[in-house]
Amino acid sequence: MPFLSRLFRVRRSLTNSAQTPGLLIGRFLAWGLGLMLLSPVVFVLWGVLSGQAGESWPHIQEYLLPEAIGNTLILVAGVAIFSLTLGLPAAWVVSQYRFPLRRLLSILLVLPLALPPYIAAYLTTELREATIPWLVQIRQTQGVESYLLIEKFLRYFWLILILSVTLFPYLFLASRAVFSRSSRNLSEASRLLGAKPWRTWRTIHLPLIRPALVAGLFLISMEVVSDYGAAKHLGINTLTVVIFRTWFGLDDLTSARHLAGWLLLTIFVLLSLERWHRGRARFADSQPSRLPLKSCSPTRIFMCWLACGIPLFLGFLYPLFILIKWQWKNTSTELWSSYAQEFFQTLTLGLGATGSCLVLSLLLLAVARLSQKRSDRLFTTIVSTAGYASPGTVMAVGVLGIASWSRQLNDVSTGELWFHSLLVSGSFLWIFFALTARYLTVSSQVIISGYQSIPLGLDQAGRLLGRRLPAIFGTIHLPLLRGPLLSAGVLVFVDVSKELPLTLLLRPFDFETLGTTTYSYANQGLIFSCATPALLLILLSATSLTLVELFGWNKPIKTK
Amino acid sequence: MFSKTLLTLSLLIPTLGAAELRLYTERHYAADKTIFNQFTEKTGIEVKVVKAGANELLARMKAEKDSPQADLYVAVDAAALDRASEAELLTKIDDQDLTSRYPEGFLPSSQQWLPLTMRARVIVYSKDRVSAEKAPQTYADLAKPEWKGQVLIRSSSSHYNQSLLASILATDGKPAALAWAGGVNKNMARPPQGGDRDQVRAVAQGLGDLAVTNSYYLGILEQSEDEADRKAREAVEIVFPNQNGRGTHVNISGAGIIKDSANQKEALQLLEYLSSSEVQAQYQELTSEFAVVEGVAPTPLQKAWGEFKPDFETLHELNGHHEAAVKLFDVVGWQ
Repeated sequence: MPFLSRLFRVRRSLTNSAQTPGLLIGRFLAWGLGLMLLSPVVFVLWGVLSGQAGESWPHIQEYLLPEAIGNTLILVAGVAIFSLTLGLPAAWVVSQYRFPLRRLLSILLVLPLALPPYIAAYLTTELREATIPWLVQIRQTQGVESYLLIEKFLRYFWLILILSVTLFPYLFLASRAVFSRSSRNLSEASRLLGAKPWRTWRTIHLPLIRPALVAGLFLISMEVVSDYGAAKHLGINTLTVVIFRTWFGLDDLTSARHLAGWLLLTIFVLLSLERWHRGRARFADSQPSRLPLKSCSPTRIFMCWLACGIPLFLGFLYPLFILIKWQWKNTSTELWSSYAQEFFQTLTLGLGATGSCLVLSLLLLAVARLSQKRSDRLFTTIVSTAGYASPGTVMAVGVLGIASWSRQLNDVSTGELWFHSLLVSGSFLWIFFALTARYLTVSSQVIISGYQSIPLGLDQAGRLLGRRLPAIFGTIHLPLLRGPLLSAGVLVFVDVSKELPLTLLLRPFDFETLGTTTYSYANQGLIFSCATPALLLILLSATSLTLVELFGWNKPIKTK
Repeated sequence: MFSKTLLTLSLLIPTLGAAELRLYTERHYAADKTIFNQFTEKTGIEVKVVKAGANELLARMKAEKDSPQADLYVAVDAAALDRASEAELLTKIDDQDLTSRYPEGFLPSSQQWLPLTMRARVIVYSKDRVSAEKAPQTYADLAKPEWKGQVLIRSSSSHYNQSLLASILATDGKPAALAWAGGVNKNMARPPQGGDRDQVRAVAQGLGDLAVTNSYYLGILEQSEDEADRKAREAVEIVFPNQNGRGTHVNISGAGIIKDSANQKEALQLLEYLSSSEVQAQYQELTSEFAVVEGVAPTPLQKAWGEFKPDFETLHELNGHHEAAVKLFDVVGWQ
């Protein structure tokens, strides 16, 4: 992970304090829990490591893989370009210029994250149907071949658009953080020294923003690669769609695992390449700029509104408008109040998974920071990346396997009954476990960037004043990490509420979240009935995102 | 930790309470909830469900073979039910009274699952643009060059298409099935996308003249709250294919009792209830699927489609040809 390397690339000034009892317990816990969280990923990777492929593997290689790889690459590239176009200008103007509604727009631009891509795909139904008369006309005048070509092109366009407008906030968030900090101070200096705007961009902003771009684009690409709902709805075969087809269609879980394992390995290699290429480059200043924002002429104000308004309209206002329209048309008898249980269960799942993600991220990162051991750092990096890069459903099968194995260890005839009932599949233990293994990346990313802004000097001062390491963690790190913790929590919460494959497969009986209910209606083609649970889901996520925009992220450390 | 304790408690409570039944089901219709509620009112047995895809549920059942959590497995494909039976996850249903409700040859030889509802895979054509004489009468007609650019059919990842091709493999053999899939793929009006209903809507909009859909979707469109859906249904005429041959391809939704599960008696009770003529008629009313037991008349809506001969022969051979069917789709490039 890009942030991790920077955080831990500090000299070993604290190493001699590494072996205190508190830290030993911490390391023991971190490694134990970390290894447990890695186990479903190892299950996925085992398909590659053991060289095991199912009997359908040659068939998949010949008929499915080439197209799927091509499609996945097209999508990743397309979504990256679109997200940059949507996210970067918006992040730039809200962090550089002063214009009316700036603060409000800056908050609202995060909200598209509340919209799951599969719901966004359903929401385009009417727009896509509106193009049919035009397509019919092309077909009659230009012939079937050109019609098929245009139709295909349009489908790629829709999918790229849908994924971009729901995912660009990752990039917006990452680049806004950079633009509003050191990059502003430096660009001011560059301009005073007589550099033209373009040169300032090229030599100051671009290198500074690179890690943020990589981090943002990494998260976006992961979401694109693992998307199933939207790609399937539009009939585009991506690698994830092929993994599902291998399992559900060809009934060959071994080959599905094999493919998922290769995908995971590729992602690891790409990430390591990026880190290696960036080398030791890093930026140190994380203090917010104290320079005033630039004021704008009316034309500029308009441009700023445009830069923020377009992504906001596409990613949030238009989908919201359609959902409200559907809600209006929806004559089904299910009332808002009948979703109370789904709402509550979404909340339970979200809060539970968020809690365990936060606690584990903190444990792993604090141990890595305090021990200053290379092995701890590497382990933390692996644990906090692996889950996010694995396809949810395949991971779920891994979790089922682990559940079964753990039951064998705890014989029901001799063991405690309550403990056994905790180990059965469909117990909350496993669904929380799976969600934690998957979303640990998200919380770790945010907390790491928080850790970066705490100078190591503070730790050293604490040591010199005779504090033990747990006390340093408790009295220095925790209070300073409040903002990042809130942000990390909300991002995990939003992701978990949207999550589908893990929840669908591992949930207990009679357990429906707002996400699974929406999906189930859409699956039956009852798109108007989707409106209520989807609106509730978006409301819930949007509220928590607004909360974090107001109080979270990385508030500056006040030092006097 | 507090939440975990609480959840552990909440997990334990139901096992102490009233009788209950746990289902893994692929059926996601609101009608099922209504029917289960009636069952609970009648018997006092609570019905709890986990809804997911057949293979996902199968993976969960395999993983928890040592301590089965669910009592019944409900799937919407005979092949999926046969796979559960093959994996030795189901138990034999030994109840003469229950099995005698079904027509001869309808039950699997394993007797490990029972059909609950039946659906036919039918062809619809545009009333405006296709005359009744010219309309295709067999699945094979769909592959004829005269329909180039006119056929609307969903993706090959749909169970419904997989089982249709499996039935063709079972009756006509591999070369014929390959030629058929290739022919239909060449005749498509657009690359496959959306569900069965979307294909019917597309015919109404003029994107192509023919579509393939499951019968009950026509019922759902006809009874839709959306006027556009009702108009789409009115724009097409229905054909039950292969009436002079093997009959129209049908598949079932069905249920099997999971081996060694806790509530075997109650599971049997539910199956008895679901296959009663009263509930079977209710299924027809609510979902427009066909009843599967003898002596239940179709609804007026279904009668308007006309009578048809279903192909029961291949129903129990679908699982054997399932994998080959999926591979054939890939070979011809049917997405």
